[in-house]
Amino acid sequence: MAPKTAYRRHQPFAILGILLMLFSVVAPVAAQGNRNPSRIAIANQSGLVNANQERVTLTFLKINDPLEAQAFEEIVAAFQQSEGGKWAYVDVQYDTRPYSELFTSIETAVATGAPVDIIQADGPDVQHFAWNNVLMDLTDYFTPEELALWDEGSIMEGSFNGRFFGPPEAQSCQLLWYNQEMVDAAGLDLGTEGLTYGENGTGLPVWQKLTVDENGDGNPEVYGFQNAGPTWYDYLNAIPARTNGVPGDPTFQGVSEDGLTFTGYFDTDEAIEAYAFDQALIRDYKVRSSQPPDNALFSGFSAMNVSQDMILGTLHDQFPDFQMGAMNPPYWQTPMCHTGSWHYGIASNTEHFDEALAFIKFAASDEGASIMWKYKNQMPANVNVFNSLEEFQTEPRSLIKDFFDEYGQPRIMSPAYTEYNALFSEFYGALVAGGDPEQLAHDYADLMDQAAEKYRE
Amino acid sequence: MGTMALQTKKRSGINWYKMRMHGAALLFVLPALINFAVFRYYPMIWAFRASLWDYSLLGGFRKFVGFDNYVRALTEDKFFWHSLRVTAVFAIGYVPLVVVLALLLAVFASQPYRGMGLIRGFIFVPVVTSYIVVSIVWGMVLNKDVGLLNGFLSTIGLPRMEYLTSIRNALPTLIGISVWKDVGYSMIILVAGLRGIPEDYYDAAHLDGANAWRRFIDVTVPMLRRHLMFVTVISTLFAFQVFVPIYQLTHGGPARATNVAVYYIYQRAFKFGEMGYASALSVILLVILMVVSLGQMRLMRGDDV
Repeated sequence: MAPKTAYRRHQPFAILGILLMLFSVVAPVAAQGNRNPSRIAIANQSGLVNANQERVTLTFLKINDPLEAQAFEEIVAAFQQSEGGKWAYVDVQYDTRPYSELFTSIETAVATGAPVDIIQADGPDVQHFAWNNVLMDLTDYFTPEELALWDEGSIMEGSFNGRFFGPPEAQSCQLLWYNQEMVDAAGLDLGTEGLTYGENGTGLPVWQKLTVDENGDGNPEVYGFQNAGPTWYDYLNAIPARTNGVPGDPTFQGVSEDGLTFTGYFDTDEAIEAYAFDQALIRDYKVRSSQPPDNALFSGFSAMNVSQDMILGTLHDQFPDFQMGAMNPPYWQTPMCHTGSWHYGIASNTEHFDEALAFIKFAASDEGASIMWKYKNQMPANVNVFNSLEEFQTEPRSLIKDFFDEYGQPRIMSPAYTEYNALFSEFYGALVAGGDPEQLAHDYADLMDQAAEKYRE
Repeated sequence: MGTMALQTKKRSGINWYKMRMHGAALLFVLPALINFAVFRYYPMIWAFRASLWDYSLLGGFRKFVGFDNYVRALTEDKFFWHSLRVTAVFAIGYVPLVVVLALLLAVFASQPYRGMGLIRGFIFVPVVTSYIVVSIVWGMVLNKDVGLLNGFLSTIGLPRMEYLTSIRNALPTLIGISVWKDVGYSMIILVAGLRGIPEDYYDAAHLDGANAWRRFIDVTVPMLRRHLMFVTVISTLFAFQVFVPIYQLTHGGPARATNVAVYYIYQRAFKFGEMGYASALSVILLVILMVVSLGQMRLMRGDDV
């Protein structure tokens, strides 16, 4: 009897304990829905919504970018008021990720059937997502007049196999930006023409002159030159090798016409010469760092920096007193900048296609692109906005406009771009660490071929 | 009849009581069981299933390939074998360092002096700090050009070193970071073990003329056998599963010098869209871990002192 009594005495506590445990398991799951800190719900600001209209919230999976977030806040408000308030019932919430995690997040979201409506895809990834049916084919939803709104290169990057998968948010191109005070102190008169790579090129003497190693220990206090890093994506680091070819040849193309063969394109003699020189700039000449910090130019870490025009936004916002000059980027045989930027795509599992389509059309329209420019200061892909901006009539933005028009090239076009870029980062990291450029180039071209093999099926 | 009826009633009562007790116990552990079933065992079973398919996140289950993924991993994939070698080197560097350092720190932090609690807490802080945050901070400290450590070396006249960008130094650097991060956990386990050793043993050893070193070797270490076994096994598991500092600091490079097995699996799954193959690699790694752990436990098994 005694145990039974004791059990009965403790029974209420046992039940309470069980309930508490169950609650502790269930409560966080239940709360999860609206507590993701990376999600920012934008409230309807127009007040035009029809009381009988069911609200629709679009989920937009995108990169984490504070300036872009401000732009979208205004774009959403304008969208809700557009067409006489037709879309006032639509809200947009963002699921934002760092650049390095965005691609994986998109894959995971699609695979798990997460309620994502709009996807922000980097230009070269559009093909990959299109091939994998992540993005909806929007060819039939854009008229030729609408497509004429955007730069041709952007249309090309937003397309795969002749089908259109998403309008562009912006465009990009690079220049060589420099610290005017350091250049003046070194007595250099640079002009705007691009320097050339190579031991006998015009760049090396300039970068050596700008490099400062006060105690001569081989670890400069100021590096003369910088071309991105320490993450070695192809966006900037594949350019030198491609410029060592001429239009139409394998080196310049970087990959075969179908985007699936890298051997014979990535590892040509000219490309290897460029890789070897990149390595020498870091390890032998010590005019370029293997681990540059953020804002290397503004912090005085480097005297020259290859970067896209968004650096001007950083200059205005954070370093307004910095004296910055600009010139065309360095090259071997053929000048080149890599073009392309973000595109808006509609996820294949969206349940709000009409609203998502209307939103991305608006965001990429003259009005949406103007708002984006206002906050982000990145070169617009929208032709009307681009042509209307006075900034692009004067230096330094006129330089980037001219260079873009004459020498802009998309990054390599391949459905295996994602795999290629991951392998390129590995390749370049090994190069910077002192690996044999020729061996590495051949090995990685082979690995890229293998990674692209599945797209032949 | 009367006796039989009484026995039946009694047996029935005991069974009912036991059933209720077991039922209550089951309810208590049910949340944990559900958690394990849903978030541990189901994914493991699911991963095994995926390993038998040509499967990717975006493409879904395309084709049943049987054990082809396993054959590929074991016979064709030189990078997987390389990642296992890197992992083994990492473990060989990491586990002894963690165990020895944790033991020394535990002995030190168990001394009956004022402030030892604070010191234990100080050593334990990295354990409860986010690994991502820790990795970012170490990345800044170890930067070749603007890092704190090289700044210090430079100040005292020593040459700057490459840590994370050097093929030779990257893995040892990551071992160092991981030891710093994890040693506090093992130390706390061993401190608990030290507190369980009766003082009488030390007094007896002292009376027998054993010096401090002999007392440590002949009393402390044998009495901590079970705790040391636990720490060794756990550290080995940590070593074989290291991922965050590689993901954050080196991305498996340079030249695959830090491409450990888990990072390689991540690459195959998410960078190359080969989730089925990555699942096969995960299963192989699981088997390796089980064999290693069982081997360690067998080696360290012994009679209680």
